Amino acid sequence: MSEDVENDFHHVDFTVASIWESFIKSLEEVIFEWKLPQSKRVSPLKRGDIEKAVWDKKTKKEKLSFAEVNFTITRYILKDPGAGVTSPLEDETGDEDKVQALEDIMCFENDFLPQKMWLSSMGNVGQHPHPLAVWYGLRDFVIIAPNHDAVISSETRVKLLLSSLYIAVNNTNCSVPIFIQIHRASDQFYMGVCDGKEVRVDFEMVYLKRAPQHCRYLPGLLDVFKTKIASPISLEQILLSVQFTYILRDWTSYKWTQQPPDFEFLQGETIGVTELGRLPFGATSDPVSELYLYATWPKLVDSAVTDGESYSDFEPSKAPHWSVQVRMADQPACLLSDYFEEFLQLCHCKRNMKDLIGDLMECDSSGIDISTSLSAITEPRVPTLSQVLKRNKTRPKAVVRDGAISHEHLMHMLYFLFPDAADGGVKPYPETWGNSEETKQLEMGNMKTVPVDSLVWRLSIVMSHVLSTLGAVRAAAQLWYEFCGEMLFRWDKGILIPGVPPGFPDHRTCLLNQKLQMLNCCIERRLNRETLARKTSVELEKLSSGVSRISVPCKNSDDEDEFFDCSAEPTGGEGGGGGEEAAAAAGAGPSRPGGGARRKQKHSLWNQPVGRLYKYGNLRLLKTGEHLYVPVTQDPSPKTEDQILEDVDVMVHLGTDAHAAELRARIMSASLLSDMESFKAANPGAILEDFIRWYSPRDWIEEEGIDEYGQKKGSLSPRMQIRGNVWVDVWEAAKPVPARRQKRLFDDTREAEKVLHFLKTQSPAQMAQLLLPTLLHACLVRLMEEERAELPDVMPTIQHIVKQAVRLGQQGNTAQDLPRYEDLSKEMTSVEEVIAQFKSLEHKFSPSGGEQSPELQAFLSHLMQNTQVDVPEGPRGPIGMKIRCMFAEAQKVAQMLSEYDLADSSEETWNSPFATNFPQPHKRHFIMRTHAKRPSTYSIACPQRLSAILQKDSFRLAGCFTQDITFQ
Amino acid sequence: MDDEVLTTLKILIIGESNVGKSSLLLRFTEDMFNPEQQLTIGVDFRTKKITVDGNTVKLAIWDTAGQERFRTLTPSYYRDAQGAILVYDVSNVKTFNKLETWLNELDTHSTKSNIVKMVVGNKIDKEHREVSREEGMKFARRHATLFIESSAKTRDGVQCAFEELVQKIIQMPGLWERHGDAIQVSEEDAGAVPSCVGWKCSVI
Repeated sequence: MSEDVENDFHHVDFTVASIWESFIKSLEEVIFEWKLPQSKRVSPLKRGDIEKAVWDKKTKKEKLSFAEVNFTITRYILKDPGAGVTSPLEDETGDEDKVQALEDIMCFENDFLPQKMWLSSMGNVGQHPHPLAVWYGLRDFVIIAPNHDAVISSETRVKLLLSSLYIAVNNTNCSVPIFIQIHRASDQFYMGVCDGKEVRVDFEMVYLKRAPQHCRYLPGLLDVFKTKIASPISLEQILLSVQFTYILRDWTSYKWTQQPPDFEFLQGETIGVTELGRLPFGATSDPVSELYLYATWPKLVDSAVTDGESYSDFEPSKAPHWSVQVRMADQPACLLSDYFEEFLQLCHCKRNMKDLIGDLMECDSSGIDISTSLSAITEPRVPTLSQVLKRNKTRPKAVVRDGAISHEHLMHMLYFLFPDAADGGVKPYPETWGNSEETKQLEMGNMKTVPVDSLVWRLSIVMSHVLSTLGAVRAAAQLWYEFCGEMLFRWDKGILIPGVPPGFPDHRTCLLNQKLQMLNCCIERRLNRETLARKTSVELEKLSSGVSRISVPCKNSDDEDEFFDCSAEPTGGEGGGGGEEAAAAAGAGPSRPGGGARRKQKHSLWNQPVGRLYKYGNLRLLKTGEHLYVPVTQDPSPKTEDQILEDVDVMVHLGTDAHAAELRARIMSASLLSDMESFKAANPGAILEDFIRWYSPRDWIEEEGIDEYGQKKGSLSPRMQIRGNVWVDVWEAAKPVPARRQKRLFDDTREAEKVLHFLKTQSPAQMAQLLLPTLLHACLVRLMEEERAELPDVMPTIQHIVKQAVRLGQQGNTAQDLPRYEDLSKEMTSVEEVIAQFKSLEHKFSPSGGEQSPELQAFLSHLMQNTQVDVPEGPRGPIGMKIRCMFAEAQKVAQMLSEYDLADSSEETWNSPFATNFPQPHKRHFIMRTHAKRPSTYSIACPQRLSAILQKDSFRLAGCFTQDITFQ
Repeated sequence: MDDEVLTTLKILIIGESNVGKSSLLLRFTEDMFNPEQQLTIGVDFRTKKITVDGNTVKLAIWDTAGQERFRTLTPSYYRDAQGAILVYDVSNVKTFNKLETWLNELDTHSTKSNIVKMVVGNKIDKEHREVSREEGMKFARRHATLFIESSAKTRDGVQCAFEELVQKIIQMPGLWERHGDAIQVSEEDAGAVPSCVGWKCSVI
């Protein structure tokens, strides 16, 4: 909220002479410009105001200079939390002479402001609120700091500057305190003045590396305060506020860490199915690094407390008020994110399979040559895994020699991926592939991946395990190689691949899954074809034995005028035959056996109707009056999305002219031809009109009149009658061939080999890219499992990642989108980190998994926001007790480690026998306040304040002393 | 001239057979009408440049066969289409009743969730009408699609149909990407104006 106010004109006043006079002059200009003297008193501060409200920062550069040093002047002002801007106090009765700054320094409400000190990315600069606000409780002040590296250090110069300041504020009646930054900015050493109407206020400071001997305890500090005030008459009571800070770094038994899955350990016990199928989660080091405990004693009277080397009243467990804050570890290693990161690394891998596992492939090379599936007949030298698995417990002939994964591990993984190879006891795939509730809820179902817990899903997780914990890139390449080997084996042996959703390649799933679906389609078709071939050969034998005496002219005729000896009425047998055929078709696929044999008495042998599926309504063939049968046709060809893209490319590249359109029609007419041939085979004597009535009924125009078979007369639509149109051409070219004897539109052998070749030729990086979207999906599901309602920011982030992931999937170019995946990885890391932090806190504060009180829940979620949180009921509440236990345990450990090591205590000898459960305080902060008549007995009593902050390696006094300037 | 083209849009024409899909396309691309338009087998493809609101875009229009049997073949070509024209024949109510099936078909096979759909009632030149304009509009409203009636024979509404469709697609954030854009326009929030494109967009 900084706002540069630039003056357009800069007038030079020659009446001022000395440098400090001109300094004062320009300072006054700024004061007037900012209207500091007019600033109104506002309502008293409430607790938390300075901490929570927004600060306004106004900066002006290069305007002020003094002895060739340029200064930047900055005003810090607290915006009124209620009104947004500082609103003047309503009742100003009689309080005209009071000064805002003096009110604020005496106000108890903002003692010990928590400073956000962990803006690590910003360095120390990003402290919020400004230390001056913390030390003095001020809400409106101005700092003049030398620019760049200039440092004001000499005492004369400091004095000169301060005097100039004082003159300026006095001239302008400015009651906003103005400070000068002395020494380096990092020292945070400021001195300042304030014109308090009838009083003069000096802000002074002491900053040392070590506390002087006499200042180590409260009595000494009180002495300093009293001496400094030097009031001629005895002081009023001094009011004290004290806060001690303790840091807990050793979590002892409260530590919360997660270890990566250890497969070495697990395998002895069980087959690590649960571990294999589950991505790890959590931080490997405690994500909460430190706990700060603030023990506070507000408003004590100086005479009522004792503090000294041997005894102190400031025993943290007796403090009336406790608050804590935690510091989170900076980027702890998180398992899930690390897994994903490593996978992303693999996507960039430049090495090829041969590089990585060339030795392994060589030893297999005779056996595994995917392009020649014939070799499947001969046993490969290294058995594929299913064979090994089938052999059940006998040692395989060739143990994977130098593979990074041990044989035993590999077996477990393959059993997990292909549970059908085992006799039982491992996790089978689910029966149906639906999306779980939570994935639906988050639209994860729209991700272009695979159903949860399908083969590709498992493979991506196992691959991730292998990559991260079982031998890195080489092992991953090996697993892929084995996977490809298994695919080949299954194709060879005709065993369906488990864990792949049934049906055609589903283009909403990832490419790898489509490829596997394709392979399954091929296996299925092949199996059907082979069963059919076996059956048909049996039937044919029967048939040929029955008709062998007839000499059949081998005429394959498409002559529509062929005479058939058939009755006009449908016979029961025929209808039944059709039904049987339909049933057979449903069961056996593309074609059915023996249809022709049964009907041989009705048609001449060379023109048997074959490949009928069912009667098409009551339609009869126009020429013969025979029922019109829908033929069994070839099944549509399954295609993976990359094949479709190729097809589309071909179509597009043909161009857009008439010739191209015709070419396209020819390409597309392959399936039309197939259908026409099937139709002719099923309906001997059919003409194009018959075909059209089934295939494109809207091109059959019915007319008045009934034909001889009782159906409406009609004719082809004009467009069908165009001479030389593709339909007529194709019809003329079509021969009556049933679907099963046609050239296959879908060549399963070729397609399967294409898939196997595709799998085999993937580089490690390409392989990882194929699996990456699915792994991302799995990671997100894992995050969802760990998600906590107490963390409101987690769900939106996950949702955001899902959205991005859905879009990345649609673009479908993983290689190009890797940087985007890296961004998502970072987001996932942050989510995992937050959840890990929360779990760690929960582990520390929650009584072993029991019900959490709402109080505790609120406490934890506040802690997560990185703020200082009050401990309900202080040290005596349940949370307080827990904290005491943590400190006590850590102390016990520390004492055991260095029983008599007193090196520390010689440095900082605040040692109370009552505080053994707590370590040395990290910081002690005393605030002393009183009113005193200064400088003389008849001066008015004006406020005095001293903040003392004692740390191991710093000692700071920040005092604010006022004196009456009217009655001296 | 190619550098003037903002983007290429893929448009589908689907609907029952003999409703005039190919005729619509021919009228739009060549401004011709062939009463003896051949039956489409499988899919056909044509391109045309069109300028809408000062933006020139190239349309790659995929014409499909309406026959039931071709439906195992054609949906492969639905992929990545930004717009779809669903055609019915106003003189044949059966073709209108089938629209629902075609919409389902489209939803099943289109890869873009926010594909722009337009219902076109064709053959308004015919004297015998079975589907009124109101019925057509009602259907379009219920399914949140654009609607227009046309006649490929008389030219009525043809140009307008394509223009309106293109306009809508261009306004749709995230549905298309500019030529030469390495980064795709954000599809994140339907309401967001894709700032990186530097294009004026309004939200529908």
